[in-house]
Amino acid sequence: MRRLVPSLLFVAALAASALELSLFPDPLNNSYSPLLRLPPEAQPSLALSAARGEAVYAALMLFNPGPQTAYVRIQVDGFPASALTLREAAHIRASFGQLVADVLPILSQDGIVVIPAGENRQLFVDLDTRALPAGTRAGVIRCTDTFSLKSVECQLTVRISSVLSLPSRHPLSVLVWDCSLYGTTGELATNILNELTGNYVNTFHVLERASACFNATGDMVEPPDFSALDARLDLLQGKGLLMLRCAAPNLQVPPKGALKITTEAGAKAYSQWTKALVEHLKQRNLSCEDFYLYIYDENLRDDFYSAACAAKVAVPDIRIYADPCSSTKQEEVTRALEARCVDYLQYHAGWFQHLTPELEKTSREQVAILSTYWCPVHHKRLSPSSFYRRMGAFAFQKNLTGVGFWAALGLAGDTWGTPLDDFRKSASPVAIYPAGDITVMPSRRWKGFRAGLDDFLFFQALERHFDSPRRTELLNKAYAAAENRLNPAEAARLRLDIMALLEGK
Amino acid sequence: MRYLLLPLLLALLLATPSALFSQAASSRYDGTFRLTAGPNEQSPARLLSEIAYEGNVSVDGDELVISGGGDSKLPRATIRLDDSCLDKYFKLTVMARGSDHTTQIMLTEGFRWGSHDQVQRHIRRRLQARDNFATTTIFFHVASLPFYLNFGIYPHNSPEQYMRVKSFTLQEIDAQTYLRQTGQDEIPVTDRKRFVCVRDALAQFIGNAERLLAAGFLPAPLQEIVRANAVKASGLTLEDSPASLEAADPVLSACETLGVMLGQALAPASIPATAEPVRLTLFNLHSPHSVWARFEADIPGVEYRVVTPSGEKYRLNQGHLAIVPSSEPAIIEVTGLTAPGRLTVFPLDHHGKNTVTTIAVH
Repeated sequence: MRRLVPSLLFVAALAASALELSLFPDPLNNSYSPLLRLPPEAQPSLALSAARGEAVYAALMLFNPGPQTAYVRIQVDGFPASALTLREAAHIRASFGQLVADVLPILSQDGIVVIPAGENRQLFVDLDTRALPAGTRAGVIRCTDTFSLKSVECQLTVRISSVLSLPSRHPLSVLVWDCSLYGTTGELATNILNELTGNYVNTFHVLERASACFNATGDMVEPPDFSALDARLDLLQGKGLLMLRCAAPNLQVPPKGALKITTEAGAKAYSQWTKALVEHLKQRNLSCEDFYLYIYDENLRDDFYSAACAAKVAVPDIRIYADPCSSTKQEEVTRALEARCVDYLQYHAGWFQHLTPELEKTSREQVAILSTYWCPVHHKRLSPSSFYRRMGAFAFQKNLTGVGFWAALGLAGDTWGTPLDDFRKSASPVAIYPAGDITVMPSRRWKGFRAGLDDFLFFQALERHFDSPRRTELLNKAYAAAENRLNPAEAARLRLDIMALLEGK
Repeated sequence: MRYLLLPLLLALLLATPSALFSQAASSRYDGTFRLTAGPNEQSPARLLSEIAYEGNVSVDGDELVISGGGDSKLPRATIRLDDSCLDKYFKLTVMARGSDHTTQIMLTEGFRWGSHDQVQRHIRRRLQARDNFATTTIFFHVASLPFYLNFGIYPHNSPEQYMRVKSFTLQEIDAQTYLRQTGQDEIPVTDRKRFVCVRDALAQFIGNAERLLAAGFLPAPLQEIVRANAVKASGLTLEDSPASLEAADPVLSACETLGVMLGQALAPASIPATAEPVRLTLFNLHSPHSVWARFEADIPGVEYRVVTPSGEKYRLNQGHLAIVPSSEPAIIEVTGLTAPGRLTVFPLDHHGKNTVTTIAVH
């Protein structure tokens, strides 16, 4: 009997410390405490319905009620590895004190999650439905405490619609200011690019400059060196629209001088440079349809106007990008539109919302792509499910043809983790974290942006459906999403309702 | 005459609160009422004698009325939540109407609205001008005390400005219900000033140091470091100025740097390159919950494994991130330090500017 009592106590301790598995209501919510203890589910199960091509997210919460750290093995049955990725969610401190579970690394290759006593760990379920056929597939996520060998399981059922299939290419021009490709090569560059294209980014920055030299009267005395540009184009050509930020005037006059673009000589020099660039791109089978000159960033002042006019005079078919921001005057936008020297207008979201009806009308009539962009200085504190996700619904509501935001992996010299954006005063807007090897990791904010792009496709499919009271009702909800009036549960419900309507249910 | 005065005095004493308070701009800072959750649909008018208020605050029937037009820069009523609300989640329902959008319901954590207290976390809901009463619902979490529910207006010197509160109800909810409601705000947790972050982080370290030293699992060299850092942190006179915050940063950074041991000694600044595994023991010295530690090395092929108490080894996740609990060390085995370079480790949860531990490999 004496021996039995400690054994029974030991067994009781094990039973008491069984892992608790619960469903986390909003997988895009990154604002929860590591100490959060949700009521455990008696029989956890996830039943997901998705359009083909939709990025599906879910989150499970594992809580360790025991007195010691638990080492938990996670296994998935029933889904191919190409379709289902399990991630952890790591808390990181943001600029203004928020502690957000933003970093989403893939689980250890050994499938182990470490859960300290009295804490939770989230399993972020990242389902790529492009790898799944239409129909229903069932599986299970099993979590086993390697000490007690006790398991908790979550049944996972995924139904892929046979009616609604999201396109592989997004109809919006999706631009993220990802400058991390700049200076990267090899597998890392390819992996960054895959992360971008895999999430509908189809418009890319090209920062590599092709400098030339001129004399004081604006004649080119040394042709542009296209070697760095070509190396980048080797990676990006065919992947989408090219935004040639390298197009900013750099009118060097040896040995140390430079021409001003607003002078006659400067305009002459820039015209010559533009012709040389276009000719070079033509040799690479790139026409003016394939790229925009991104001459300046957030600048429509006189130097932009001079450069844009000079480029248009040199090559009438060339297309110019501009992004009016808070410091841009309305007259500057109007001048560019009247001179027909802007073809892609990406308004700062704040600016766009205060656009006069006349200017909005002119913009829509004249430019090939009308877009808005978001560029907050401090990113990580913003909600993935409202701020980031809303961009897609906003683009839909405003009938835009493009959308953009800062998503850079980090500019040169950034490492993530040491004062990320937070303490340098200048913000590093990483939305995709470098793992430190050749792979990249998404943030939950990046997932929010992708969810918004998927929302856009759902809403567009709904809009194309034949008219009915139900369609009108759901469209109104889509507009509510654009105004941040849907909570995450309602946003999830809206997608299901759209799918049901399109499936004739 | 004496017999005439007595009924008059009695009448005054028996007068309704409405009659008493509708008189004038008054000021009370020391309300004794403490709001708790439960079956508590409150009639604000009945509460007026127990709550704190400033400016033109009166009752009209069963309604609490806050009016502009007086001397107060922020006429308001302030109700303190009971301390038992700490770390709980709530749904607050308020039935009110206002003259314009300057009328607002304001939840303040750690400070009293309109006082000279340092502004900290707060949730604001402005009312829209309406003829009818409308219900406003706010979901919130009480993360620290004191916590106040305020009704008030930013006056623009118009006597027509008013806010009328008919009732309010505080209901405790579970975390899951609360989380379902979040995501509607673009910044889920309100911004804090750098001063507040640094001040709170130092206080957290001092509290945590006591806990760690009492728990007794820290190796002797780390006990010394924690004690020394606690003394420095306690001795800081922190002010909300760039110079003061800059001066405090080295202390804060030292507090938030992970304790890293190699064997029984503190990890040295430099180790020789080796084909053998190097086993580091990490201690979280600053946080009452676990923190993630990020490993980086500029030596190709370095791998990291967490070692369990029973000796099993498991690779870290894709980000080379290890969990360092608050009440146990984390043992990480590093392999592949075969060439010269640098190995660094730092916490992801920190406010200090330099919390990086670097081990040079020569």
